[in-house]
This record gives sequence, C-alpha cells and structure tokens, in this order.
Amino acid sequence: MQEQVCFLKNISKSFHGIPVLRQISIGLYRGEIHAIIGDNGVGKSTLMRILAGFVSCDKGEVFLDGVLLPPYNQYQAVRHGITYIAPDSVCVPDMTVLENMFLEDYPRHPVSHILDHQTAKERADAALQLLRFQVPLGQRLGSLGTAERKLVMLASILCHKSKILILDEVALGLTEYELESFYKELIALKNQGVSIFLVTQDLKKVFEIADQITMISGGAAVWSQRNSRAFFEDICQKISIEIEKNAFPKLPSRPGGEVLRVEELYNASALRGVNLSLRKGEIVGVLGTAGSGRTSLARSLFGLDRTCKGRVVLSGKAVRIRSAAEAKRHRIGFMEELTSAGLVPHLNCVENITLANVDGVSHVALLDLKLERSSAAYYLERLGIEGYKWLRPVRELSRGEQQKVLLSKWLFSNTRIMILDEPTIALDIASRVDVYNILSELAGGGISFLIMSSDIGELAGMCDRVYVMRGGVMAHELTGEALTIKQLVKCLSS
Amino acid sequence: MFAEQRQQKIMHMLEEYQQVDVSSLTSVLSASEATIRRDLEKLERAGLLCRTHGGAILAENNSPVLQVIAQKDYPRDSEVESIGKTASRVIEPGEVIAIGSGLLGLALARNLGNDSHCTIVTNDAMIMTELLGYGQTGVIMVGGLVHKNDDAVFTSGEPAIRMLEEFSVSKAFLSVDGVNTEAGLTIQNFEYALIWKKLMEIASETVIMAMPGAFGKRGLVRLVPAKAVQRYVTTGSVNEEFKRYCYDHNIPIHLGFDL
Repeated sequence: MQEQVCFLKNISKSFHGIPVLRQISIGLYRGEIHAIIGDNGVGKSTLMRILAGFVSCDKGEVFLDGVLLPPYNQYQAVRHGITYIAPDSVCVPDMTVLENMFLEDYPRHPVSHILDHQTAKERADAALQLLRFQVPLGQRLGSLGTAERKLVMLASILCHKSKILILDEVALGLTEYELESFYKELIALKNQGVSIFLVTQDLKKVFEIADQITMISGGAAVWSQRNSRAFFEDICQKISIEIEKNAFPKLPSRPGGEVLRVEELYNASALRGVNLSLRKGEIVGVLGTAGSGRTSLARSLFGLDRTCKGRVVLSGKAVRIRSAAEAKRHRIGFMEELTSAGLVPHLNCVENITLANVDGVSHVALLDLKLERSSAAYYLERLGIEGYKWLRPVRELSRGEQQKVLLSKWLFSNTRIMILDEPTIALDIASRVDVYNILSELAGGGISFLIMSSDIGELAGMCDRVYVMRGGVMAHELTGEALTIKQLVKCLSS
Repeated sequence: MFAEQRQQKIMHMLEEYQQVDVSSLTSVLSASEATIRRDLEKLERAGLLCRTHGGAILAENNSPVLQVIAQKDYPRDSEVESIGKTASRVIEPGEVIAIGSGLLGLALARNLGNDSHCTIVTNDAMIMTELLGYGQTGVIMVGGLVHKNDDAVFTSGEPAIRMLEEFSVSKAFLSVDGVNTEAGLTIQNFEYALIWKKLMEIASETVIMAMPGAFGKRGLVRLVPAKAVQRYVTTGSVNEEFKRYCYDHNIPIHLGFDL
C-alpha cells in the first residue's frame, strides 16, 4: 500500500478579500507524479506556493508523512524536503549557470560545511548530460537566451534529490523536442522515490506520464482521478484537446512598405548573420528552439544587447540602436516574457501607462495629473480593465491585465514596431483571445509586430510570415499556403 | 472656397441630381468630410435639404421611398460602429458577400470603404442606400414583401427566399439579438427568421455580428446552434465564458477594441 507523503487539507486563501482557494484538499503519494491542470488564474500556483511555504493559507492544514506541520516559510520547506521550481526560480543573471542551479542548496562538505564545488560540478554536468544540453557551467546566466535559461532550470530540477518536487509550469516556452529527455528523467526520478506535483498546461503530456490527475477550477478541485486509457478518452470528449487550432481571429492583412530590415546581424553571444524584413502592418513570427538566438535578436533590436556587425535599417535609414531609450525614440517597443520586466510593480496602471511618454502628459516639465489619468483611461477603458483597479499597484492585477497595461504603455508612446517575446504564455484563454484580437486590430492600423514564440500553433494561426531561427541565423521563411503547423514542425526538426 | 460658395454649389448639385453624397462632395469641392458635413447640417437647419446617411436629398422631395429611408436620427452608437469596422476588416477585396438586415449590418456597410470592389447581396433597403454611395461595389437588392421596424426596412417572404436561391456568396454577415451556448442564436422578429436561415444557407461562411450584451441572452425565435457558424464579431467587452467557448470550439471571434 502506497503511503501518502503529503496531504493538504481544506485549504482556503483570499487575496484582498477575493477568495482564490476554497477549502481545497489534495494529496500526494510516494513515488507518484500528480498532475494539476486547469486554466490560468484558478489557484494552482497559489496552492503549490502554500505547500512550498511562500504563502501561508488563511485556513487549512498541511500534513507531511501523516504529521501536521506548524506554519512554515520557504526555507523551512526546503528543510522538510519540499523543493519548488517555477520559471522564475533560476533567475540571477549575474551568477553563473552552476550557481543558479544550486541557488538554495549548494552542496557542502558533510563535515566542514565548506562549499563542495567538485560535487556541485559533477551533479550539474550529469544533469545537463541527461538533457543533452551543453552549456559551460561558468557562463553568466544573463548571457543565455530565455529558452536556454529554462533548460538550465530543468537541469537544476534533476539535481535535487528532494522528497517532494513541485514543478510549476516548467515546460512553458520549450518545444516538444527539447522536453523529451526531461520527461524521461522525471519518470526516472519518480521511480527512485521522489514524489512530484506537476502543474502544467500540456494535457497530452499529462496523460502520458501522470499517475494521478486533479483539475482545479475557481479555486476548488473539480475532480481527481487515476490516469488510465479509458479516462483519457472520456476527457478528450469533454475538453476536446486539439493540437491544430483554427480559433485564431486573424484578419486579412494588407502590409505596406518595409519598416525594418536586418542585414547580416552578428553579436558576440548568439547572432551569426541574421537577415529579416518587416513591413508596415505585418505580423511576423520567429520560431526557434533554445540557443537559436531569438531572445538575443529581440534584445539587440531593442538596444539591450550589443551587436558587432551588420545593419539595421528603419524605413530606409540605417540606424545604430545602442540603448532602450534610443530604441524608444525610434518608436520600437519591447515586451519581454516576464511581463514584470516592462512594468513597475508598485506603481499603478495610470502611472505605468504614461511611464514611457511622460512628456505627453506634462506642461513644461510639470506633470498634468488630469491629462495623465484621461490618457491612460482611454486605453484602460477599451481594454476592459475595471475602474477600481486603475489606481492599484499593477502587481495586484492578473497576468492578462498586466499584459494589457504593458501594451497600453507602448501604444501611448506611439510605438510603430513592437517586439514581443512569448506574448501569450501563461495567459488564460479569454486574455489570449483578447491579445490576439488586439494585435490584429493594431496591425490593421499600421503597427508592425515581431513575435518570438515557441507556440507553433499560435505562430501559424496569427502571423503573416514566420522565420524559423537556428544557430543564430534564419534557416527558413514560411508564408502564405506554406505557413502551416506541419511545415513548421518539419522545419524545426530538419 | 468660402462656406457660402460651397453651400451654393451643394444646392446646385442637389437641384441637378436630386441627391448628393459626402464622398463625391469632398472631391468636387476640395474640402474635408467634416467641413462638408457641417455645410449639410447648416443647410438642413435652413430647411433646404434633408441629410441621409452618406449624403443629402432636397427637402421638397416628395418621394415617399426616399423620405422613409432618410432617417436622420439613427443612433451612431460607438459600439455599433466598432463592430461594423471590425466586421469590414474580415472581408477580402473582391469578395461576394451578403449583409443581413439591422443596425450592425448598416454599420458594416458604412465601413466598407471605396476600394473594396465587393459585390453585396442584401435584403435591407437602408443598407442598399448606404452602399449606393460607393462606386466600386455591386449591389443586389433582394425583392420581396417590405417590412419596416425601428432598426430596418427589409424585404422577406416567399419571393425573397426564392430569389436568394439564385445566389451563392462566400460570407454572410448576419446579426442576432441573442447568443446562448445552450439555446443557440436567437432573434426577436419572427418575420425575419426564414430569410435569415436562407442567407446562411447560400453562404460558405457565416459571420455573426452581435452587441456584447446579446451574449448570454435567449431571444424569442431560435435559429441555429451557437457553434454552427464560422465566425463571431463583437467588441472586447463580451463575457469571458464566450471567448473560451469560441476557443474550445475552434471558432475565431473577432473583437473590436477601438484603440
């Protein structure tokens, strides 16, 4: 009989009076993979963060090996054997890959407690090997692209021999191909007795590897079942899992003249002669796996990374963009994957929207508060953000809402070229539909978009053209009839 | 040219042609649309003409048909306009489409633009009049029994349905009063149901236009299930459940945000 390694009982949690978890109970058995699924914003992460000690619950109890635990924080959780990994866990850009992999528990000599670099390197190397991912351990994390950082995060998961592993949406932004080895290793870990909570959107994967599946909606567990073939077929009917989606609201586009051309762009870290062009009102996608250079390309075009060779031509004029401020002056906007990077968390929506165009709401260096508010209101109203939220710090808003505020900021500063890195990742369905429509509408108005994404369906559904990037160059360009999911997958794996 | 001269020219043209439209006035008089509209408003206040959508007719014109059609006070609700604009973007140049009767269909017609080169089949007299202003579009008006209500002047009945059978269009833009995931698409006007369904039949793709408030409502006359159509057009304020419904059922939903 399997023993229950942990049990969360009747957990309730509210934020600012809004209930997020309603008396939800969930258990985990030793050596099992328990998948937690559900739309974004339903409370999955909150529940896991309670288990991991980051947040305390308002009501409810946490049992470990049958023993009730007194309230604990995240450091005590690690000592209990609970490890929590989310996309922002491996995230100190100025530290090395090796240091990031062992942020909270760098191996120490058992007797002297001196840092044990030998063991750390061995374990890290072994993990990277299992993932078939090569990167120098001493390299600065900040020099890696977003997808590569994720692979480092996956490798760090494999290094931890903890009792309970909580993986919160760790597979986002990586393609099937990259994740193959990871999931294989995860199963190996499970067989060694590690118990795993897997929070994920990838339903197909869930049915392949999970032992138990729980669906959460509206802060409560809607159902929890053992995984089986029969169950899978039943669920397919109900949820209609579709890999090929026809639901993208793409409007026919009439692109104008070329607004951006990149010629043989090189930089020290990743770009090896990138060529691309972008026309007015076009939505162009860039698909690439980890290490392809797509993040570096985005950052270089926005002046955050230095380039050493090649030309960037904006509307016929060659330019050198050496800083974000310069990029902004050239009317280029940038939305990174971590939305928070473009917003100031403690400032409210109105302030964040006018952030990049303070001149537009000032009279001779004095800020006109009324004008500021009405300018921001123009966008907030249209994007459907409720009035009472306008003056709250943006960190209190949902991901989808934050994304809209960020878009508004760039619109308000008259951006003509928007570079988006994974714009809809971790967004709930309704927000995704909104974002797709907003992009389409803005493109119709003449704004050009360059979208970096790992979501093949999204790129095929929303873009006029898609470049497939590999090894720092554009390996393929697909458009029109040839722009299909099948073709993109073929290009990626060839 | 001074305002008076412009206004005199407008009256001359009216006397000669019986009706004028804003777009040709802007080119003939080399003035902006806003200026022409202000001129027309002034002349209307002076009782010399009646404004119609897209233009004007002489005030003493006794033609009853034109008087009925020249509704000066139709609401130009911003949501209605937004839906009309978004819907117009769904159309590819040169397409053959059908536009169903109603305020949203009228907004779509208003937003078609001069370079669409489309052929339009419609059973709504106000939409027909609106489209007459655009030289590039071919308009086919479906004949039948004429009905007039607050929103529209349209034809229906056996002869209209028989006539529609002659045609085939790539997209039909139809409006509804209620969209409910269980009850389906519904309208209030029973007279309109048969011809609505016929318009859907002759089209390869059916595009439903509806106000955001219509989603969730259950009207009187049931038409088809909500997932039986190919596209939806409304504004961004429609409820979240419906956005998820469309995503789950693979139906593109076009939302206007008016940014």
